[in-house]
Formats: sequence, C-alpha cells, structure tokens
Amino acid sequence: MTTHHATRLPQARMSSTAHARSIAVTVFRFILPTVWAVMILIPIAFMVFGSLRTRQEYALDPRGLPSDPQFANYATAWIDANLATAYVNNIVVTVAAVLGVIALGSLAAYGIARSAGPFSAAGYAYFALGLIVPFQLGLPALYKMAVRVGLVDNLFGVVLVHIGTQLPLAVFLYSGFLATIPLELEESARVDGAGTFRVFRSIVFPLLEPVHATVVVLTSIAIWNDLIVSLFFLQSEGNLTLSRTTLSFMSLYNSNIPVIYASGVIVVLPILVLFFVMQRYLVAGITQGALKG
Amino acid sequence: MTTTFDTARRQAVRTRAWRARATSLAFVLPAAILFGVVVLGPIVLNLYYAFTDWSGIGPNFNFVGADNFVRMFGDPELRRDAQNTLVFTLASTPLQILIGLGLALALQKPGRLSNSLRMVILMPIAISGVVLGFLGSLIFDPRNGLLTGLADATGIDWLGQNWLGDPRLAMVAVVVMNLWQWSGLTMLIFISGLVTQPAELHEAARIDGAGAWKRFRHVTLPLLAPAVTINTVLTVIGGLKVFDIVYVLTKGGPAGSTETVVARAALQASFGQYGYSAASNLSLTLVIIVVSFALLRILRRRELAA
Repeated sequence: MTTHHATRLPQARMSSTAHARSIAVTVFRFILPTVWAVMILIPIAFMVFGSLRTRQEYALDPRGLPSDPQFANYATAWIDANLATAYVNNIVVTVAAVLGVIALGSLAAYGIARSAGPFSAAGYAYFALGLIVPFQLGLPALYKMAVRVGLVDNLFGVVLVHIGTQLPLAVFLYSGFLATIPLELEESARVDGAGTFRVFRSIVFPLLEPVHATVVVLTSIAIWNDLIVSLFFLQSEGNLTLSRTTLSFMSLYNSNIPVIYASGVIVVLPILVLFFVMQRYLVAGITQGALKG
Repeated sequence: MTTTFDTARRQAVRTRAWRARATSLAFVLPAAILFGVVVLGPIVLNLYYAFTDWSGIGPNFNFVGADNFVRMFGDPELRRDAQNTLVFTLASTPLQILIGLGLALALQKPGRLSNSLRMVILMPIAISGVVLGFLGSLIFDPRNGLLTGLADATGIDWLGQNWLGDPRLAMVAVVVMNLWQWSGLTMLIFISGLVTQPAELHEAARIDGAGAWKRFRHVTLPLLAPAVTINTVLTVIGGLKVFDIVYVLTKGGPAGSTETVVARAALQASFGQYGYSAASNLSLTLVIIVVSFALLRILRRRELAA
C-alpha cells in the first residue's frame, strides 16, 4: 500500500483520505458492534464459567476460570432448588399459553382484517390498547377476581392470564401480515363452497407461518421468564414456576454462588435454544408486523 | 315483478353481509373477551376502587371521593417513585435509540459476521429478569464483581464503586442493564426499517454527489421515520412501566432510589391500602395512555413532514 501511494504522488492525498475514510467505516461497521457483542457475552460467559467452579475456588478468586469443571453444581441446583417441578410447570404453562395465543390471536386478527369499515377499526383499536396499557397495574384487581372464582394458585388460571396479556401483540403482528395476503386465494376456495372457518383453517392459517414463528418466540420468552404474574397468583411449592423457584433459591443459597449460577444457566438454556433456532424468523416477522401494521 | 326481485336480492345481500359480520364477530370474540377480562377489566376496576378506602381484605369499604387523589399529591414516596420512573425513561430512551440505530446501521447488510453479531446482540431479550439479577451482581458487586476486577487491573478506581448499593449510582446500574438487555430489539426494528428502503433513492443521491453523511441525513433518516416512531413509543412505554429489572437488581433500593411506580404498585398491593394504590395505578395508566398518544401524534406528523 505505502509503495503504491509513494509511486503515484498526485493521487496520494486523495487515496489517503479515502484510506482514512475506509478505516472509519471499518471501525464503525465492525468494531462498534463487535465491542457491544463482547459486552453482551462477557457477563454470560462469567456466569457459565462460575457455574463450573467449586465454592472454594470462587472464594479465592471470584473472577477466575474453572480449573476442573464441576458439573456437580448443576446436580445440586437441580435437586436442592427442586427445579424439576418448576421446570415441568414452566413447560406446561408456556406451551399451553403459546398455543392459546396462536389460536385466539390469529382467529381474532383474521376476523378484524376481513371485515370492513368501523368494525375492523374498532377491533384493531381495542387490542392496540393492550400494547399501551400496563397490565401489571391491573393485577391486584385481577387477583381479587381470581380469588372469587377459585383460580388463585392454579396453573390454568396463570395460563389464562398469560394468554390475555400476550394477545394484543399477537393480534397486532397477525393483522400486519394479513394485510399483505391477497384475497384471491381465499375467494377461489370460497367459490368451491368452503365456509369461512374452513377457509381460515386450511388456507389462511398455514400462510401465517412466519408470524406464528415470531409469536412463538416473543410470547415464549415473555411467559417462560415471567415473574410478576407468578408473584401474584402462585403460592404453593408444587405450583411455582422457574422465576419464583430460582428467586427463593437465590436468597437461600446466597453463600454458594457457583450453584446459583448453575441454576441460572438451567433456567436460560431452553429459551436460548428456542431463540437461536427461531431467530431468523424474528427479523421477517417484525418487519412485516411492526412496520406495515 | 322487477321490484320484488330487487328487494329479494337486496335482502339476500343484506343477509349475507350480516352473516359475514356475525362470523367476524365470532372470530374476534374469544380473544376480545379474554383480553378484556384479564387486562382491561381490572384496569377499569381500579377506576372504581380508586374512590374507596378499601384495604383489600374484607367486604367493607366506604366511598371517599377524591381523597386518594388528593393524598397522592402530598405523598413524598410517590413523588420520588414518579421522579425515578421519569429519570429512568428519559435516560433510557435516547441512549437506547442511539445505540440501536448505530448497531443497525453497522449491521444492516446481511453476511455471516453481521448475522452472528446481530444474533448475539439480540440474545439478551431471551434472558429472564431473575437471571438478569444474577448477572447484575456478577457485574456490579463491589467485592466480587467484574467492574471491581477491571478497576483493580487497570487502576481506574471509580469503576469499582458500590454501584447497586449507593443511592446516587444504583439508577445508573439499572439503566445500563436495561440497555444491555433491550438495545438489540431496538436495533432489530431499525434493521427492518433499513432493509425496506428502496435502493434506487440511495443510488440517485450518490449519483447526485451526496456524501455519506448527506445521504444518511436526507435519505436514510427520513425513510427511517416509522421505525423511529415505533422505537420511541416502545421505549417510552417500556420505561414508564419498568418493573422486573428494578425488582431483581435492587428491589427498589437503596433507600427507594430506584423504586418505580409499577414496582411500588406490585409491592404495595399487599400493604392493605388497596383503594389508595388503585388511585396511583389508575393515574399512571392514564399518564401512559396520554404520553403514548401524544408521542404517536407528534412523531407521525414529523414522519409526514419529513
């Protein structure tokens, strides 16, 4: 490069500014996001490293690397925190609520999208309220209602609460996508004599696949990680979900940090796997739902 | 003859339209009812309880008019929480937008490296609040934390402060962890806004001799307006109702220096002042609704102007 500049003097100044600019572009393009990504990864890496160390190692040097990986911490966390029960509860609640959100959300969005005029606008506005209003502020009143109908400390009750709170986002994303689907497909099926529900189930629902993926990722994350709903509605040991169990485990085991880190890794792992498997749909789903909606 | 035929046909059309509307309604109803009962109903109930002195337990309560609302104005803790919520929102929003925009511009072109970086940067949105609490103490703990380690290694002493335990610093730590978790989503929404921009406009500006900054300022940014709107509204709403991150990092402490309005609502519900906390919840709900609509209006108008 230097010889190249030296041999062609007249152009040297221009190409050196161009050179400086290309360095600036490289810094911006690669170094900036790489620095941010490293800042994301460092604490996570230290949690994973920490979870593999012994208590003594941690006491001597809290920021060291594991010399001899201790998977025993995972066994301790799993058994002592009673994570097995919480795990099953979390899976049951998340799967049931996500299925509910997909079924009710896509159906409602279709009803809104395919009816004309004020009804459609009103339906859209009604669910859009849910994107703005903080459901958390209604929880005390909802708790009183749940007591009356016997849905407190009940996983089914929690599933209903999650479906209700997650529906607005799903309706919003589905509506945005439905607006881009041409009507002709449905009309030809209708000419063949299919009823509205048949058309929805066999034609529209499969077409919504990219949004299903987005809804699965976003609502699974929200429900799997939920803390506030379970703080309000769940009480008995056998019903607690992961956030509650790990929270109380944390205060009980606060002298054994490696085991706490192990419980953290156990909690995040399944949802991170889901995230990595599905993340490429997120970009597509958000583009279609958020910006066109 | 023709008239009866016409009325019959009109009748048929009307019945079909009515039936279509009924079907639509049947599709919307299950979701509408569940959402109404779980989210809107309780918030409307707050409107009722806000005018009572109900403790939250037992059947007895009195209507007390606007007493709860009057009391709110003289409540120093509520004022502090409102202030904290505002500080959190005003600090988070511009930072998150700038970081998200910077990252999106840097990573807008797909490629193996840029896809991997995007994925890593987005990853924290999947991490639960409780685990975020673990990570918070892993980073900020004055004795065992990473920042203290960094301070020891580099000699930059101020890094090793008691971030979560000092009332003047705790909010900084909360804002940083919030940025750590959510900047990726802001980035993703900006990337969506960038990939849908027509390449011809950028090409035309380039041919006209516009430099990188000019192209950004006069082509990219105006076209990005809808993404700016969505990100601003999402961040402001998220800021005004922040709860999880405060609860797991500081429980609102030290000395209430990070307690936000929603955190207080969640903690106070059990304190036997149901009517009063309903009044403050209702007020925050109204503030959020008004702020969101105002923001949407202002930003949409700017979108059209741009």
